[in-house]
Amino acid sequence: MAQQMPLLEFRKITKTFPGVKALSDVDMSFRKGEVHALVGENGAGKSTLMKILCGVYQPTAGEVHFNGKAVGIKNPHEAQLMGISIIFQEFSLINHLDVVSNVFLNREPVGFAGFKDKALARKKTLEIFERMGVEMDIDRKISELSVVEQQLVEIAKALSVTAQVLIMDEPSAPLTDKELTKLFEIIRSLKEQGVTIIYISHMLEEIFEIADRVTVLKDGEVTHTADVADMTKDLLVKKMVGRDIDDIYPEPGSPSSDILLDVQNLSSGERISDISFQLRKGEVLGLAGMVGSGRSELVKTLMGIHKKDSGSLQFDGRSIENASMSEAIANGFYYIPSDRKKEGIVAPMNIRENTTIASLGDFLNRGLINRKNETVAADAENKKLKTKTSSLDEQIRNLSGGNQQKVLLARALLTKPKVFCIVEPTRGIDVGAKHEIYKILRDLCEAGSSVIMVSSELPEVIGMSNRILVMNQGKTAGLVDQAEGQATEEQILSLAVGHEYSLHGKETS
Amino acid sequence: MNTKNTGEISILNRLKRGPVPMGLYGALGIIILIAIFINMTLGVNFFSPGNLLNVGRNYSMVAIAAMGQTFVIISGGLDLSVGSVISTSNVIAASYMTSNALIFPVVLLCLLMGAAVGLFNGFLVTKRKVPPFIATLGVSIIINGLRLIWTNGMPRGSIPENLKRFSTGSSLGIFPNLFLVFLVLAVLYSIILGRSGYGRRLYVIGNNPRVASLSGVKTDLEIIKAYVICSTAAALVGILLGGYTGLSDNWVGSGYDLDSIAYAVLGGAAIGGGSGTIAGTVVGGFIMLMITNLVLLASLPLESQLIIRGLVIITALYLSNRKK
Repeated sequence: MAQQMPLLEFRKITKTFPGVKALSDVDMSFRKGEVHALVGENGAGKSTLMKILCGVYQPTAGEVHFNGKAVGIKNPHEAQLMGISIIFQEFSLINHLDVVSNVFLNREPVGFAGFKDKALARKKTLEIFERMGVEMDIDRKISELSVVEQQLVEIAKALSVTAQVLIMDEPSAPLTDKELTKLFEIIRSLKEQGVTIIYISHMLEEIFEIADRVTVLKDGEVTHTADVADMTKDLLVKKMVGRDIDDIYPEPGSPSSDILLDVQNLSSGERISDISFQLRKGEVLGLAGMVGSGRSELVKTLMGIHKKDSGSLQFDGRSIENASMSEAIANGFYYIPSDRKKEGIVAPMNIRENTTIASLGDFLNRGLINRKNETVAADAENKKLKTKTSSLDEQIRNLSGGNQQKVLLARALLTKPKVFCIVEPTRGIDVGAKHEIYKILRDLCEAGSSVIMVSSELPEVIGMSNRILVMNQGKTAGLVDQAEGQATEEQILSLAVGHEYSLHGKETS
Repeated sequence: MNTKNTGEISILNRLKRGPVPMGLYGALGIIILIAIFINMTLGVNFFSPGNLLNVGRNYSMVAIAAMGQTFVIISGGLDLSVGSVISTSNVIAASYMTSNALIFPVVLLCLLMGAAVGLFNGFLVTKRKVPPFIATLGVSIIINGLRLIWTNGMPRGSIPENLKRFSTGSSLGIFPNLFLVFLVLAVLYSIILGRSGYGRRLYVIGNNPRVASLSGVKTDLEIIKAYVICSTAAALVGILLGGYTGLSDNWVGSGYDLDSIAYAVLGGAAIGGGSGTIAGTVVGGFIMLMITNLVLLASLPLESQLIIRGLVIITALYLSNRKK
């Protein structure tokens, strides 16, 4: 097995996007019929690598070898013809069509006079499910199926094009334990049939159960490849992190011990359940966890965007509801989401207008905007934050990401927020501007406000937070107080992936 | 001539963009040139006092409705119930204004009816997430139905003398009263859209409703207000039209929905929201009206008028989309 020629190989794959090196000299190989796990932090380059394999992206340099030959995969259709299929986290099924139609979507076998040969499609679909060892009523509509059944249809769809390589991106995320067992059975049976499976997951348990080999990606580079049998969980976690925190973070300041916000037993639908924590005056509370762990859902529930099912909020000694966004803002809360383009800027409007949207009431005189006061305030706030722009009349879409973020911060600061929630504060922003944004957040704390910061970048969480609340599957997985010694990435990551970690003796789920 | 042409093209390109739709002024210039040309060649006089007065009155009526429509379009919607509100307001006015003394209370009643329709439209669009096109079309059909049941298809009543005198009369010598009403509203609406907090919020909502609500704007409420403004303006048009024609007419408002939308779109309001101005609608509408009137004066068949109006709207939309 070890001497066997690899089915698929990446050779020195490099991919750069404007300003970012997403992948750098990635070498990886996959054997026929193995389950190869790919792990790494958010943003390590896993998705980019898989998109290259599927023909969505073209590598800047390097080659993909398939069956011993260098291949250029120009588009997803070519990848499919070669037998490379991917199952994304979000399904691509059409809800109101039945299983057969979905499996053969756009590729229906053609019969007499160019009509679709539904009978043949049915026969083939049944064969695929038989091969998977699954019983499935192929005439049911997708909307009637459970999540795991839908995933099975996705797999069948992938297999219908004689898959040689099957990529599964976080397949376990929507599944229950029982369903996961079923999925593993199918993976094992596919493996016996010689299908190579690339398994992407944050959940270490699963990797140790199903994978033969594991490769760790970090900051776009392969840091480790090994047989799973030779790995331990602690070692794997260490390989996923293990870097120094840069000195771009300002001093942590000295938050008071006064409680500004006391959250008790907060639950909202399936998203978060029974979350309790306290936010101290003048602190940065980091929210860490994997994508889908409920971090931003917690913030949205605090802000009244998601309805809370139960739980109480004590703010500054009084009980508040925050039933709607406008109520939350009136209470002194503010929220900046991660997607600047969709949820931050109003692209066609200018910087002045973008800056004052949330505090417009302060500039109104009998309903009319006092343009002079508005301009003075927008100008002062943007100057304070060092927004680089020629004029306030410039459209915000013409600014760089970092400067747009500063305008959004200026917008927030004009409301004088007491509890300031920000998600991925420095996503897509260069290092220089990052430092300035950290400084702005720290200054806000010095002035007596508190910041709740959601971030997927562990160095950022550790560098900025006074305390770190780690979440896993909508629940609190642990609270790390950096006053008791600096947190490590291992510590946070292992809490986030639900792996027990001995340090500090924290209980984890 | 050459330089003028290239100037036209680059100006038209900016049709979509600015608070001041420069392109429209150019287009207006061209139309006036055409009007002068027709004047000289066909011997009909666009600029005759009679025609101008007529044009001015017609224009004022559609333009008031179109300015209301502009609010809705900026908010990201569309109001197809404008015509039905006009007709209904007209019929209510004729039915209840049995004497001069009743003019004011009935005007109030009509405006309240308009506001209620706007409230309902806005409620459907925001709280029930019905697409504006469907919601307002449905409401329009319902209102027409209710009115026909109420009037048995035969509207009765009459318009009191004072209202007739107002709608047909002129002030300050040459200005038709209807035009003056339009002018006052144009100034008022311009201030609301261009200078008030409400106007600013409406543009933000139209451009990015998500950002608006994240900034604490009560988006649903503000959108409902836009529909109320639009329907109330339509109700006012219905009353004034009653005074102008002196009749109670079940279908006096038909055609106003699409005309009001056409005025606004030609004036730079983008379907989908976020852009458009009162000044744009005023000028855009005037261009539309002149085209219609010139076709009439040139004794071309009515059908060609429809075709030309369609072409103008499509061209305007094409130019504004290409800009995007």
